[in-house]
Amino acid sequence: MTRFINFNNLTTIALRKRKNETEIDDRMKKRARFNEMTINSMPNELLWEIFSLLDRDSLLNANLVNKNWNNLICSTSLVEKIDKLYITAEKVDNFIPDLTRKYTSVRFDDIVDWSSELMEQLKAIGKCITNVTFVECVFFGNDIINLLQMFPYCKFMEISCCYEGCTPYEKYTSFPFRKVEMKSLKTVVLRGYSWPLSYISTPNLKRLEVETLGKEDQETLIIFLNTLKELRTLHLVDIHDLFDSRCGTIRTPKFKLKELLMVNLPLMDSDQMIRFLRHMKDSVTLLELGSELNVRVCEYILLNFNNIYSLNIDYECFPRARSFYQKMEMNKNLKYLALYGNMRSSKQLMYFLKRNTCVEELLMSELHGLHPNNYEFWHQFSSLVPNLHTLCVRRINVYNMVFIKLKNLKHLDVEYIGYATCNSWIQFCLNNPKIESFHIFARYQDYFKNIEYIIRGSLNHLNDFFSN
Amino acid sequence: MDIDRPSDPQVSVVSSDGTMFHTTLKSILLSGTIKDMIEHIGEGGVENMGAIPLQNVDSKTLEIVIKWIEHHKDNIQPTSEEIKDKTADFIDPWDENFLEMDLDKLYNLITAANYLNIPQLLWLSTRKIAMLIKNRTPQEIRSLFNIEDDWTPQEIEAVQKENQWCEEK
Repeated sequence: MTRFINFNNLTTIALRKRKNETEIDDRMKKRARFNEMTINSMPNELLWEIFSLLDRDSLLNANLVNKNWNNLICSTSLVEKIDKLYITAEKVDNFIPDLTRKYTSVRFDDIVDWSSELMEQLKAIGKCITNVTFVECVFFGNDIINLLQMFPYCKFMEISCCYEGCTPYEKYTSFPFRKVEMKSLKTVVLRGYSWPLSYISTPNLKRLEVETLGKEDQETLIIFLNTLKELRTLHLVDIHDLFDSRCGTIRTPKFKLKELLMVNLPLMDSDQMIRFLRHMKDSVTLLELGSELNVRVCEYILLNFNNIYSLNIDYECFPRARSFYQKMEMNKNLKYLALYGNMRSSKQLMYFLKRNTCVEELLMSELHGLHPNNYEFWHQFSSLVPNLHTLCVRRINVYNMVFIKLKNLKHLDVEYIGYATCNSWIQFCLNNPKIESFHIFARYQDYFKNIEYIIRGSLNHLNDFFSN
Repeated sequence: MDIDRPSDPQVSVVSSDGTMFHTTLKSILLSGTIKDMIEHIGEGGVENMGAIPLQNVDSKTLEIVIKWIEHHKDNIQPTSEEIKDKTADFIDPWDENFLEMDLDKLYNLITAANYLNIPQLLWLSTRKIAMLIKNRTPQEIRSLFNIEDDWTPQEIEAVQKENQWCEEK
């Protein structure tokens, strides 16, 4: 039977078979393609399930991925996590808040004209904004008391004032007014003028940042500081004639600061300042001292604040006299030291480090002011900071790096000037064998091609290398 | 219907591409959808019931789902409300290991868990994706999930500006 094979039939069968196979293949492929899902082929409700598990910061990033994600995140109740009411100058005229939302943050951006209409509009959406905990505004008018009353649960408030309101003196005398009590307020950031402080009473304030005040604003600031009890952090930046005695006397504060920042405070009243600081010499652990500070105040702080854990300091703040450092006690609490400004002489730093022997992290900026042949400092450097595990240096002369011998150094971040030879890099690695991360930037382009190879070969623990 | 009886009868399910899988009643009841179906049939119906067709789940995904429900058949499953209130982030190491799979499998698993109504599995798999989104920049998210960037520079700037102050907080 098989002998009589019809060749015609055979070919058709074979053809048919092949056709069938390709058909199946195609179908399989189609299905495979169909099954090949991307995150965008998932239904929105499932994407929503995913987004609902994200925290606020991740949502803000996911918000930017593409339009669909943005729509999804902004159009659903997820916005409650972002919950922002953003009012800009362009939007202010046709400002239509979503009354179904509960906002927790409000930002007024570039609004010059704080018209009564805007206030009316804000009042109209009162229910939506009573839960606001974050207010940030540039304020021009003097209607601030009305504005503040709208946010009774506010925790954070940043006010930049560009408009001089009535001075508190006028206010007190011209008509009786009640301060707005804001019990939830924990942080106030204030720029420009201090008069808004005279309208609020904040018994629980923990953090106060004051920037750029004029002499005439001291009175309000002093009165305000005298009322605080819970303050832990105080930042004072760019203030002339701080605590000028003609503007009132600062009482012994009831609070004990943990964190203090003082930058650019020319002509401060050193007697009042020292009286103010006397009670917190043991409580402050984080300190930042910038340029333009009174020498007496600097000396007082460096001598008496013995529990500082982290110190950011401008080179200028170090007193020059050697005798000062002899008065300093040995201190083992300081672990983090960051030095700013342009270092011209290394002597003060050396004296200082001799008294603070347990520094573990050191950041030094702008060393190019040092004489390049300042070997004395670099010879002693390693013995001054034997416990150092992190070193970050800007503009060091590369020849001086050979003198750095730190057994415990793990993280290095250096910007250097000058040209180094292979041998000096090898020597440096041998001197500091435990380095795990090595970041170097050459100020001027150097022979950079082989350096990674050399350093990787010389350091056993290296797991992170970066160069420009 | 008495679910807790000692004998755990066999049940068959058929995937969308026609593959039959055998599992036990106890495990399949973790799926809310199938539980409703079986409760609808009523007592005594289970033994005589034929294979359950699952039109929206393919065989690869169904295999993964069955592996998971069989492992968890004796655990008490939280309801979706309980999962929503969940604050503790504890994950069974077995589940952690189980979820090590390609992204497209994971998407299919999410869709299947949603269709089959297995809240715990849905939570686990969506959480896995959420963890991938977490702490990544928009560009990293795009390249990880192969998403096209369809913003114009002006649009992205506007959205970024609105975001910015939130991030600063």
